[in-house]
Amino acid sequence: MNEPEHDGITDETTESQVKRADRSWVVFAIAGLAVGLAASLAVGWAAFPKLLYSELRQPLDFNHKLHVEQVGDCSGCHSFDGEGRFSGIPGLDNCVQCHSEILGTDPNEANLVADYITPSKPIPWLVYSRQPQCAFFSHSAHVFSEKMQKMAGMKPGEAGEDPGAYSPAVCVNCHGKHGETEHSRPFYRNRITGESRDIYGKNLTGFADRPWDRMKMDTCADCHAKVKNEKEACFVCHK
Amino acid sequence: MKLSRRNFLAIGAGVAAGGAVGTMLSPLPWKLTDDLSIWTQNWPGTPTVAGGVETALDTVCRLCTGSCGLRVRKIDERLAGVAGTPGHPVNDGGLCPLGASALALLYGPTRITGPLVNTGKRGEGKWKAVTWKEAVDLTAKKLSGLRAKGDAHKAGVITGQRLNPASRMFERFLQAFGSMNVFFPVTSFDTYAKAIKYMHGVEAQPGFDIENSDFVLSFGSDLLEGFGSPVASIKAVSALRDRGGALAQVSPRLSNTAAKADRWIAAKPGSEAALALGIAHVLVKEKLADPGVIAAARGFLDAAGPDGKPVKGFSGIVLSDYTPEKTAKLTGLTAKAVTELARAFGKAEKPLAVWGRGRGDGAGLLSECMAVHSLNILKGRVNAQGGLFLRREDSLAGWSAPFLDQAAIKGLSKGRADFAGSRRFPLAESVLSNLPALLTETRGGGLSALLVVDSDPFHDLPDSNKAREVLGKIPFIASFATHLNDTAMMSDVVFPANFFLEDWQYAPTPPGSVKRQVSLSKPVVSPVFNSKPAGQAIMEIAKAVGGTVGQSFAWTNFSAALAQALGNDMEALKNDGHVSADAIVEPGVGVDFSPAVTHRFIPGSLVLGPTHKSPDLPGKADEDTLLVVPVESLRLAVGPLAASSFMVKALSDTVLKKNGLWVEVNPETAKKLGLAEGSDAELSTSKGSASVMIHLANGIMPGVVGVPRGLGHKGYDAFLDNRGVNYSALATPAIDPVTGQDAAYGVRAILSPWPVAEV
Repeated sequence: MNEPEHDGITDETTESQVKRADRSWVVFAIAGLAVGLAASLAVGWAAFPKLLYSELRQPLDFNHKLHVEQVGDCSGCHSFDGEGRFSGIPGLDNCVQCHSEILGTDPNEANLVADYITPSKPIPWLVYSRQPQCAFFSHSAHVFSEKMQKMAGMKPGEAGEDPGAYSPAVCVNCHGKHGETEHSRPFYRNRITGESRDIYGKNLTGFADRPWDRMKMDTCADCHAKVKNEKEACFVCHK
Repeated sequence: MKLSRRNFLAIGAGVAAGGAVGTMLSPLPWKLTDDLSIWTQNWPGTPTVAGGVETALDTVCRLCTGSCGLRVRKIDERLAGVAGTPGHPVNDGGLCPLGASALALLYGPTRITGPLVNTGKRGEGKWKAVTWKEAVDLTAKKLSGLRAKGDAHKAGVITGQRLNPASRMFERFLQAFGSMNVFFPVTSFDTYAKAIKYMHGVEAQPGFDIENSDFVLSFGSDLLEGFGSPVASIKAVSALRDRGGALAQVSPRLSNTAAKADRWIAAKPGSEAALALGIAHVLVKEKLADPGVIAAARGFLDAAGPDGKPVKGFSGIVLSDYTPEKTAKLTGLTAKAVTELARAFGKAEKPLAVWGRGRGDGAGLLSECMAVHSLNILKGRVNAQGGLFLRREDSLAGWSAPFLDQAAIKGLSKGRADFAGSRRFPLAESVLSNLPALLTETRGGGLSALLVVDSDPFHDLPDSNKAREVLGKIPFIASFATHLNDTAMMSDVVFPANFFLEDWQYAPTPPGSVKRQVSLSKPVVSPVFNSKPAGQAIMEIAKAVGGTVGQSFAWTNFSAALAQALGNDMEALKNDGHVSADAIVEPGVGVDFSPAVTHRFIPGSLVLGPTHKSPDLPGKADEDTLLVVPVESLRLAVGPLAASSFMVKALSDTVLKKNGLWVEVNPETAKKLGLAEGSDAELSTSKGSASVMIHLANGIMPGVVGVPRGLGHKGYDAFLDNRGVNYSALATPAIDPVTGQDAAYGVRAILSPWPVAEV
């Protein structure tokens, strides 16, 4: 008597035929696996970084090399006040000292004078190395630290007599050769955290060997541990 | 191979598995987790601090007449912190809670951000934002209309402080406009100045040298709760104690001042004058008074009167009428207590009697002041270190007289609506505290327009419900204020005034100060909102009214007028913020004791009778009647600005809980009335009643109920609006017949359990 078909298996089906029918799903599964793997890797490694960051431009395209030639090295504009407070990116008062009138022909300078100096509007610079609010960082403690100066390869007395003076070597040690750039590089802003890409680092694996490529808590902590020969306490930076 | 259902599912499973593995092998989940955790720390509500350049600027606080030095911390252009200026002659780094709230008040939510016009019923809070020009033109139009009708004298100004150029601008406006009706508060320091005038024959303000005294006897002055210049008073008491001096506080309740005093004398409220004269009795009798002073004094010994009959002098009166036993009866103390206190005062080397009830912002009773001052005279403490200094009144360099046209002259001839300076109140310059009652008396219907600056009369005037009613009938009201206080809420036009941190504001010498200390606040931040100096606003209104009124304001702006008013002091004030100098006035030859015990010093005086008597408080005094007294606290403010939200939050639950006010009652009294801690009760006076809760306090006299001042507002925001009870709504003015000012020391009340609903 003929029974209803089950997967095409009848009394006449041979063994080999049955086995082949059972395994076809594996092929599909493997195919799916490969597709899934490839797609997710592509998303994770290529699409995700692209989508995660928005590319922004500085309000003015700043030429550091030119200004270093004209003003002197870093300490000419990035200064410390009498109480040790660091100016960071200096305010308009600093620019006005030279740019109260237009000095050259660059359209960026024209924008500086027209959009910022004349209406006394502070320039909304995007700070590549801005740490989050939870972290306390003192430039004084690092720039004037003897250990840091030694690490930067400074010779004793190289900075000069003035208490606020420091050598560019110290800056380069952490910030790289920013002073030699002729254009402002784009600012990559993490869409989720709002932070600069430089904090986590461009390399999404988190590997970086130069301080200006990554400065997360572990980066600071590693150097602190090396210098202090012991783990640093939390409250030193998280006040 | 067929794409069977199984195979289809297999693809799906494979993709999922591959996707999972691939995702884990990519940075996505790890980076995403890190980013999400950072994201949770940066939600919009999380407060962050903007960076910037930090600077410190010194100015002067103008939130009360204390004039403390204030140091503000700025980050770029935003004010970030306030503290007292270290080394400042008034406060030396100290600050009171109101001053410490300055930034909250500067940036705060009830700040008036631009000119407003009322579009609903008064008090509803329906505002339309208008431009400065629209507000000025509207006000000028209303005022000009009044002038055209010949009713210029029906315009009035209520100002919180008379002696500053901004207020003087308003006075000048009214002069040129044609009205005498500038009303300003009279403080106990002004009353003391009157005592000095009639007893010493000179014009001077009192200066209490508390820190250099060795025995301070305070007749109800809340030295630690805001008397005079609050921080200066607190520091002076500390200095007094550090030097080994003693403080004796006369007070019906255990205030902070009484608690920190060496002696606490709980005399019956209103009997302070009797106590002072009782002490004078002991000083005279036991020869503890300065013989040199007595020898040169007039009115001290009995003398022959105009009709030949002997008239008792000060000595005769205190010796016969104020024996320790008689004084004990009047004050509720024991004769022994009175004598001991008098001896302690008399035997001290540098005793000082301080007078000015509470914070000293009410006028008080002149005869009471004179009785207390006579103690300072008897001990030779006038112009002596650690004693009572006669300090020359501050004066401003004059402006040229305003132009007066016919309408102005006519209006000025109509006199004042409060009868100040008339035969009725010959000694008064302004009777603000009783204004509502007086306005209802004026023939011709009182005021038709009212400008209010630096003041909150709708809340602060005693019998405030009547004040709201009477003032509320005035057809046009314009307020010049920083915040939406009760008066601004009832105004037709509101002009936003600069906060002191945004403004050049002159401050006269703090009351009670020994030296002359005038100050000038300076703008430490540009105006945060669309506000202008109040003096500037009235100038623009004057120019819009035009004619001689406009011509009387020829300055380009208010700053020019201010500079002119400050005269020679301007440079020093601009640079240092304050000018400090000795300003001692030498008294006339011999002192006159008679004003302390008679009223003969007032020409044609209508008043007779024993002078220790306090003005009768309205209401009957029987065994069921209690006396409500106002309680002062540094956590509450009275005046154009009420307490900040910080201060209100600092009130204990036994003062204000949710919206309910707690009142202090002695357990004995409460028991008699069937009340316990936390009971609901109804407190009613002849002027109003309120539901309150009972807080039992051993530190308040039986029969006396303590009610804090400064609550019960109908304005501001949720922290103040309709919270608690307004003491002024329960209070009744009790007029000093000599000065015409309110000298009430309390109000008679009935306290009964809140009626329980019948089932």
